[in-house]
Amino acid sequence: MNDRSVSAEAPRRNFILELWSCLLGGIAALFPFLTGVAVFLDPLRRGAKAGQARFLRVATLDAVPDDGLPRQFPVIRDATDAWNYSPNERVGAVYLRRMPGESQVKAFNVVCPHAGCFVGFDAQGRFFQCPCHTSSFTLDGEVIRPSPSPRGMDPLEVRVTDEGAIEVAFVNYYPGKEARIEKN
Amino acid sequence: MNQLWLWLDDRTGIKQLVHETLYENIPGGARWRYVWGSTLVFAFITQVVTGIFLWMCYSPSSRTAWESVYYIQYEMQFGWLLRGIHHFMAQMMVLLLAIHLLQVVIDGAYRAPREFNFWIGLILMKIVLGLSLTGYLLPWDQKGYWATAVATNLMGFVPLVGDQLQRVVVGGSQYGNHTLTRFFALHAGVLPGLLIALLAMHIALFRKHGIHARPSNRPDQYFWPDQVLRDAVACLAVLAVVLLCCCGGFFTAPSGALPADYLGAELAAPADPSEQFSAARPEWYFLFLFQLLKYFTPETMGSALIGNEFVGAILVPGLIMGFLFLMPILGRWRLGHGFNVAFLFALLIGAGILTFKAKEADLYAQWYGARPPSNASDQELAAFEKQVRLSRDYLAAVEQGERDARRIVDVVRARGGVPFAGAIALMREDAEIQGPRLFAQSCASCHSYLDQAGQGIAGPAAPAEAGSPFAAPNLYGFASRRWLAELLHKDGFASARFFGGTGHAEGDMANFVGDQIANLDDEGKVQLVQLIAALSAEAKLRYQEEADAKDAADGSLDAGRGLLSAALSSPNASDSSSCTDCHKFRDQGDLGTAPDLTGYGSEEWLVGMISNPDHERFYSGSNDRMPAFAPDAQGDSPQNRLSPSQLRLLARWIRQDEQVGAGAGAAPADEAVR
Repeated sequence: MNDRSVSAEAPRRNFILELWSCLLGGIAALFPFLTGVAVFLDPLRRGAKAGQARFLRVATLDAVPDDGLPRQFPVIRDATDAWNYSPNERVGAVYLRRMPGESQVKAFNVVCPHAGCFVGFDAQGRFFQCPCHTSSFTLDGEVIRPSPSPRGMDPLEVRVTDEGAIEVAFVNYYPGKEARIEKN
Repeated sequence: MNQLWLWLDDRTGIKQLVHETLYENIPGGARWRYVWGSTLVFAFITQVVTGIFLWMCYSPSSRTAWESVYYIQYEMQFGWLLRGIHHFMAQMMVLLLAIHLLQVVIDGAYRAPREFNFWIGLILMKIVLGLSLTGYLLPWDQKGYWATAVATNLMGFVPLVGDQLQRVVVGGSQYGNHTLTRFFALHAGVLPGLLIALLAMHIALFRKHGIHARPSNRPDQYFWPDQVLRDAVACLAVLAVVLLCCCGGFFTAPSGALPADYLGAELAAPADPSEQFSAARPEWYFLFLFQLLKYFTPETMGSALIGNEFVGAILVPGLIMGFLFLMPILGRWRLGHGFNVAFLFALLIGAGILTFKAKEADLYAQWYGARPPSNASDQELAAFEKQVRLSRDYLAAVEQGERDARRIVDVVRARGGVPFAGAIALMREDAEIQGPRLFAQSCASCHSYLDQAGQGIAGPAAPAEAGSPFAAPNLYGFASRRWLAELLHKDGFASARFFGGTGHAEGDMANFVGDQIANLDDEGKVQLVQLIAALSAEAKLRYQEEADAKDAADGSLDAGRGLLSAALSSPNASDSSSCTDCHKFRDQGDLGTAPDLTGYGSEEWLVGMISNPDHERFYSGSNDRMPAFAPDAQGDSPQNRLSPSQLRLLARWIRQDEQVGAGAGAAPADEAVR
């Protein structure tokens, strides 16, 4: 601006002075920003709530006919969503499948192991079909090649109680990876 | 590196820009008194940065605003600090604005050619005040809610379009979701956007005209680094003050409490339109306007032509703002400038006095309550008492507000989160919050609820008025061992603390306590302690669990239960009677003559008693004056003064079921018996 008016005697810029300016100004400017970053990164220190029941009741044995076809059931458990805590919230879904004459039940997480879409069941073709990137899976959850999915559908541990309730150990895995890594 | 710099400069001209920014000439050299503008810019940038991070955690609706702010404040790492910086920096900004304005006016820096920039500055000031006003509501707590309710209601006094204006700003006729979405959009979008645009103009014009320096024979300096260093130190000092305010909780937290819960900005209890909040006050820098409104009454105005609120809330502040805008024009004359400076000082002193007056009125009881004016006229004395009363109400409301705020945090934590119905639903279901209110409304016209230290809710039978015709028992520690021991003491039953003010003062029970229990021999006294323990165990009071379990284990509860239907040992045992001669206890005795002692003091018993004391299970025909609060316990008859859930809350509170660290009533009974 009025550079010309600055007298030639203007003091030589002192390196120490500049250093202090940068340092103090930097602290003042960065402190609020870093506080914000700390808050922003809060989700990183939050894991799953301890004490969640591993096996969750999702259906009764009668509700899964032994015809070998998968049926969809919601998974219900107590859920915490930031400030909200709600008992008995729907937190996901599973496919349950029972072979003829067996009381053994197979369970798959409905989430596609490719990119996390909700996999559908193609009743005509009798296979699982993801609506997003055309991954498909056999009724046993195996990948039908060619497929963008790195692995088959995620099987879940199942147990049937004496009273005939089907309980599933509900887990979500990170999609897009060959190995199954639990999300928590 | 140099190549890249040149490449960039070639395309953006950045070199020139940086040079212009850093090498601004400062006539007479860098000075500390030039830092104020920079601190304001720093404060604003801090608000933008912290505000954006808060934005990532905030949810504007009537069932999520308080809840999300709670989560920031109490659950997220450093959330209290982020919120604290934003809160206190906002206050700092108002302070810095005042300093900046004062300096500009005193220096006459508003004069040609800087008039236009002065006007922009005044608009910037209004925007900052607008930001502060809109931000105050966003936590949707009692404080923000009621302060904003007043502020927006004042908007209704604007002539012709007031009602419509208010409706548009509030987003309807009631405060709710749309009030929050609108205020949030104003606070985080519209106002900061305007501020940034005007601030850019303000700084550009400031650079165009150069700094307003007094003539000096010191050599000129560049902005960098001499002035920058001074600015940086000042900004750091501002930040330090803000951080100190954030950490005030370390020093004010009561002992035993987590200081972490007292850090940062205050969060009051969730907003509730049905809940009186006499502690509602605007932020301190609006207090003078708040106080001003007290002086504009139809009486002082003397005319009903224009509304007094309109004058106090809009006309006077508007005229002051208008005058500020005229300052540069007036300032052309030497006398005018002097007048401007005098006016601004008068304004600040006036605002200071009004702020002091507002504080004085609120703290009146603390400051002067103990010494009423000597040799004052009746009128002065009445005015004094009114002041003290108002101030006491305010102080009590502040205390109540703080208690509620602490309590709701404990409740949310204990539950592991807030239900979708919002924290307000938890407030309304909490015995510790609702109990005292219900008691004050429904019970305190006869009963008191005062602990051993005399703290609690005073009924008409407070010691000073012993013998009042409406004195029913003090229910603090009801059915506890201590309470029963005091009741069954010869000086207890018929005293004002228990049944002295009722018809029972001369009834059979009073005679029984006065004649027989008073004359027990030593063995009888031991028996009485056992009897009291057994009767008190019927209540299953949480704070006596330990003592009850211990006495149940060693069989003394069973022994005590047996004693309820036996005559206690005394020198003249032949004519003594037992509890079950009049009362029913389990399968002994009959209903209809005196209250059933089975389950005495339990939640169910209390709910039944409050619902209908005339029921044969309680006082039957001998009920003195206690009304039935829900005669139709099953239905919803209009005669029911309390709903089933209110009855439950009241009973649970009387029993201290949900109190943290309850137990004042658990003192051993044998002590009181002797």
